[in-house]
Amino acid sequence: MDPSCKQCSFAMKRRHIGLQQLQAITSTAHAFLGPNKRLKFIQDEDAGDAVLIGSCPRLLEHLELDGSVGQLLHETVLAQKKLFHSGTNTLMFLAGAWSRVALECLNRGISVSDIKSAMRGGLQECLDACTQLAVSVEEFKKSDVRSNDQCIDMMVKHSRYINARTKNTQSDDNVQDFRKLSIKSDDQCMDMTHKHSRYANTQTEHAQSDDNVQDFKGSGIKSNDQCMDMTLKHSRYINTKTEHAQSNVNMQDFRKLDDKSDDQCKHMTLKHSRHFNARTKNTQSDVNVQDLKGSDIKSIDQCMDMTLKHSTHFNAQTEHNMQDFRKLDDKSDDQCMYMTLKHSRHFNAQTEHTQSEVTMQDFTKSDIKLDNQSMHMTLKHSRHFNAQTEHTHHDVTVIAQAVSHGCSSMHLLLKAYELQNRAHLDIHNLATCCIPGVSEDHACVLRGYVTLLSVQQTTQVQRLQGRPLNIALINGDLSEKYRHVGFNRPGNIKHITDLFITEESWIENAYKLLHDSSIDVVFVSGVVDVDLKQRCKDVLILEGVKSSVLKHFSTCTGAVPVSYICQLDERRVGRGLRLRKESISGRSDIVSITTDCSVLVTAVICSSVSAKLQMLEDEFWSCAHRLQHALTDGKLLHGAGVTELICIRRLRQYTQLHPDRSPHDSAVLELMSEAWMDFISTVMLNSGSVANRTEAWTSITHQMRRHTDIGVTDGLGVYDNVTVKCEAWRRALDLVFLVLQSDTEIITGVSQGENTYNQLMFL
Amino acid sequence: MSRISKKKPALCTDEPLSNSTICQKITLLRNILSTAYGPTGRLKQIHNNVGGHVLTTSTSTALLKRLEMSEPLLKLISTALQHHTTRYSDSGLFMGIFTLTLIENTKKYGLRTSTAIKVYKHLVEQCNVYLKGDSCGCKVPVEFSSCDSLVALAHSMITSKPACMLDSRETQQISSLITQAFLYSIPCNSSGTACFGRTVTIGIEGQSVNHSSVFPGLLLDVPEMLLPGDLERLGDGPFKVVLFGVSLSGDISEVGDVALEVHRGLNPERDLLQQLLKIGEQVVKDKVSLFACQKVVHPVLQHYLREHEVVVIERLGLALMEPFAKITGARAVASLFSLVPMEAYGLVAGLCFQDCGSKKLLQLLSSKHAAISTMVLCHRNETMLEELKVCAMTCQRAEHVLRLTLREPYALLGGGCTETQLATHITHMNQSTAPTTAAALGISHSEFLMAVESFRSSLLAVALSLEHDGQDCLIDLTYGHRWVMDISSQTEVKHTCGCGLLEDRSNLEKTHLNTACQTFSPVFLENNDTQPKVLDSFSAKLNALNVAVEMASLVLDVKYIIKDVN
Repeated sequence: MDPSCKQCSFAMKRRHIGLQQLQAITSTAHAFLGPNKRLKFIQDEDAGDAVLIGSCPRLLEHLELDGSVGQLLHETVLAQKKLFHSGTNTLMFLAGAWSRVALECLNRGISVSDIKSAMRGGLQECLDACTQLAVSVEEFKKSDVRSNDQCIDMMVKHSRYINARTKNTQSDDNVQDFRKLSIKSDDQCMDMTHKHSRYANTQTEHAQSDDNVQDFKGSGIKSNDQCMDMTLKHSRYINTKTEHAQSNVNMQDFRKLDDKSDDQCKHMTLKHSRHFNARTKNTQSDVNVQDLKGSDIKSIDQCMDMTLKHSTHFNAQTEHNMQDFRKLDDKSDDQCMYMTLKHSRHFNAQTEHTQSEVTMQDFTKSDIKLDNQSMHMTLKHSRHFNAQTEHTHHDVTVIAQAVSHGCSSMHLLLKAYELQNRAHLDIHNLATCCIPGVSEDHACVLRGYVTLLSVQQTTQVQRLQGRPLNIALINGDLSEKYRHVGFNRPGNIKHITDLFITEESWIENAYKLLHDSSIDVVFVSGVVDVDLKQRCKDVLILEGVKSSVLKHFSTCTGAVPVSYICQLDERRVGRGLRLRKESISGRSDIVSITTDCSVLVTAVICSSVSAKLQMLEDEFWSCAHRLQHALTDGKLLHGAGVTELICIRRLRQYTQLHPDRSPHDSAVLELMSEAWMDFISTVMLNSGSVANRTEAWTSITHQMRRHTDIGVTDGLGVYDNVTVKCEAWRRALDLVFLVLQSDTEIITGVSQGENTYNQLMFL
Repeated sequence: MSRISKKKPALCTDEPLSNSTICQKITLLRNILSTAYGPTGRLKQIHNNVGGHVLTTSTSTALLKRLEMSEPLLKLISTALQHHTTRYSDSGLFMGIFTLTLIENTKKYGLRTSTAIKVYKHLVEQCNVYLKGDSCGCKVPVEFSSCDSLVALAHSMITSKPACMLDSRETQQISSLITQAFLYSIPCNSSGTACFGRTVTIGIEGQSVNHSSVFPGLLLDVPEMLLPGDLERLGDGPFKVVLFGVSLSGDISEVGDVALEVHRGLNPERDLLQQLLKIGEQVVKDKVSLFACQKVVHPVLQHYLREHEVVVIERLGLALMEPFAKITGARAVASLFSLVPMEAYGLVAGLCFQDCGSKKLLQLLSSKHAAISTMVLCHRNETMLEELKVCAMTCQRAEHVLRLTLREPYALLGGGCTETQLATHITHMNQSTAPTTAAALGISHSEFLMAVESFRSSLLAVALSLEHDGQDCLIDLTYGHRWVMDISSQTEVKHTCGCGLLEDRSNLEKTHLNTACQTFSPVFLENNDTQPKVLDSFSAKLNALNVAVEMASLVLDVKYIIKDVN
């Protein structure tokens, strides 16, 4: 039969099969979005085994996708994974959501080129929003609380560009409204003042803020915190003297507060911190401390005093801080705990984190120690503040927490980072070792390269422990049959008479070589001849060692990786290796291999369910890469759907701003924002914050109308990587465009006689 | 007793063009090609259904390379087309669509093949005369004093390949890069026979497009074992270079698939390795600093060389052999059993690392001012490795087109305007002279007119193939340019014509393309201030037109297809 091509047609007028396929395949990945992934079992009917899947690349790996669209998707996801090790779930979801957008557009009779230009414009708008919204890691670690507010500010700023002048005049009206404010108008007030302070000149600002203050003075307790908001914000833009004056007024207001003031006070300082940057952090905890105390007026006064001083003299503030802390003499454990938690929330640190632990202990022990600790913290922070470029340990912890997305692996990663004891997370000197049959709690991080041993190896290790050892590194397999890549084995060699070299003699030679060079440990990247392993009783030979580990030990020990064992000589042997038997939950068949200058650490991942190991390992690596991206990007995006929510808003504004654009544009952009809605609602649904999609949509619409974001309620402190996210979006859209523009699938090498394909034309 | 298996008789197809299956296949191929035509052309996804790589493309070169035809007639056309694109790099789809439509139209109009062939040949001659003549309205001279038209040529090449997925800014950048690379390749102040330099195109995936750039010299992937310190240790150039064209992996695959009988005590592998090390010794003795090999270098030899501070580059690949030899002046050594002759060594002026986005590359600088530059193309989308290749291929092509332009410093109007003008001109010219020409060709008047009509509508069919979103195509009745309805309004015509030379005026009368209208001679536009925005290669299109007519005539002339099925 002739080899022939057959072709089938994708684009049937308004029903694009390719896009439908893309949508169908990607829908399987919806459950992987968000922090609570719902795992999947994939069963292979032929082989009879099943695998547990928790991520898109693994899913696609196990699905047999023979269509071109499926393969394109797989390639796209793999490429994203290869480069970023993250963002694949987003990519896959959006590829599906946007192919639905494209389908709907086709359905409405919009031409392909119109869809392309509109969607590209829409994505660009969203990417621009991301660039503007990205929180610098420096900023972010100082005050995570303000994150959401900042989004709002950004949005406000944006809308201001639309019509700055009218806004300016309107602000007066707003002030009027503001006087009759209830709690609901809080957000509006915020916006107003912001705009106002930007555009109104200093004089009016003074006047107005005075007015406001006057009004609020009489407006009762409820409005007090709003008053604070406003005045403090004003103080950012006017000179120091006025600031003092205003603050005095504020203090006056505060003096009128009764025991309800806890919240307001807290609120105030939070807002405050937003404008005075990190320094006020310490103040926050003070306020909390005061709250715990039960907050009498005096303490609030002190707190206020302190804050003011703080804003002018940092050192003085620190002392005040300490003094405040000293007043916390006989605190009960609970209260201290509460404080620490509050505290750590503002620092975004974890309770497991060493510093926090110490702090907690100190809190429970005595107030003096606590003072020292707090002193220490403050100093640390002041250092951050001065030398912003350097990520300290604490900062990394804060960032790690933000990008952990609820992965328990992040603790493990942080421990690894601690153990590495470097300024940056060194992902190249990180290895993993999976241990089945041990419960997940035993996961830990050990110095050096950790691996599981066979019974024979266990006894070898026992013998080799405790003295410096020699090492050889082998690239490829360690067997007689192995040849380097690119070596073409002659197919047809016949040896006359006996073989000149037998396997036995090769093994003898290899053994002799190892023995003569007094090698104790051999790392092999490939597999090792079974007989050789048997023969070398006193040499520990480890197979399947990753090339990064080989490279590490090459630099640490001076060993040169070789392809053939015959290349080994004195100069290629590494020295100074040490073995240590480790024991984890009763399993003692574990070894850690280190050198004196080794910075390699291994995360030991345990699970009593061995099917989960692969997933936990994937999760660990994705955490590691997320953290690394965060540190290299130096920027983060708000997670938990906040960024996407802003994208929706931007898209809607864009349509309003450019009414002159083609009528199709607004339709396409509206559909695109629906795709974002879909994304957010799926995240919400998966995270369990809503019961169903309708509820999610209602909630999103509600959030859209108000100026707060959903992140405030359930996404506090969740952040995403900027580059990874933007790149995933771009790649998803590229994929959708490729499929959208395709009208024909051509399958080659199929004979005409095969009847498995109907409706196909042969060429 | 031996058994004789009877040979099967040959299969013969009589009048292949009246066979409906064959006609269907011709239509199918024409459909595939015409839907892929132009900047909004639809992409084709080609794969082998067993998990092979998916190729997404709309270029004729990539498409036809992968398509296997079952019909000899289609194979014939496909081969001719591929030959054309190898020589001219452009207008492949134009040629394919025109050939196939001519064949279909001849059938549709019920023309006798001999008549049709005669008339088509006559017409294509007229086209040649018109296009080469001075009064041709569809060509513009390419100004080498400014690079605007060069950039425009490159730009239309790039935009006609939608699989590159470049936005307008990126397209602009890549077009100017191509022009830049082209200008680099023109040798300056050379005496005697000047010859073009070379541009090597390499692709980097995952980087954003705006990291693309052109570098002098040759850029290579950094060898895995090469560390920055190694280059520092080398010091300043020039460095002696040796280049091997044979595999140095130490295998004996070169002997081919034959049975070898090896006697006791012999170990071919060991002996070969000894031989390789001898080469190594010689090279080190001759103070070579850069050791390059097209294929794999045995790890033992690599170790030896590295220990003697020789930089080893292996797996250079066939494509880079020629530019490598050119830039270093080294002659590729083809044997490992003789000493490397002294004259085979080459020189590089310097070796350094070059950053391209986040990727590091090794740069070789020429010692002899060889006009070799490397265009590094980056594409954000790593997945579409193939797409990138299409992009790289397109770029090499575009540069080729620019070189052809040096020979014939003209460009044709793009955007379908050349086709409409040519069709209008041909029809008009033959309207008045029809009786005499028909008599001269020895055919009837009506047959002649019918054949002209078939030729005309085939040309217009190409112009019509540029639209894929269902817009209406128009032709103006003064200049014969092609116009498209604006999609959003449906009643208004886009501001400029297909090639961008003309702006719409209220008094410009237009009619739908492919409807019969009164013939007219397109007005020759002189002293026009505006420059056309879309340009096509002159030589490529001229050749495509001629080959298409020739191929169509050949296919129309086929009476029998005889297939040996044994």
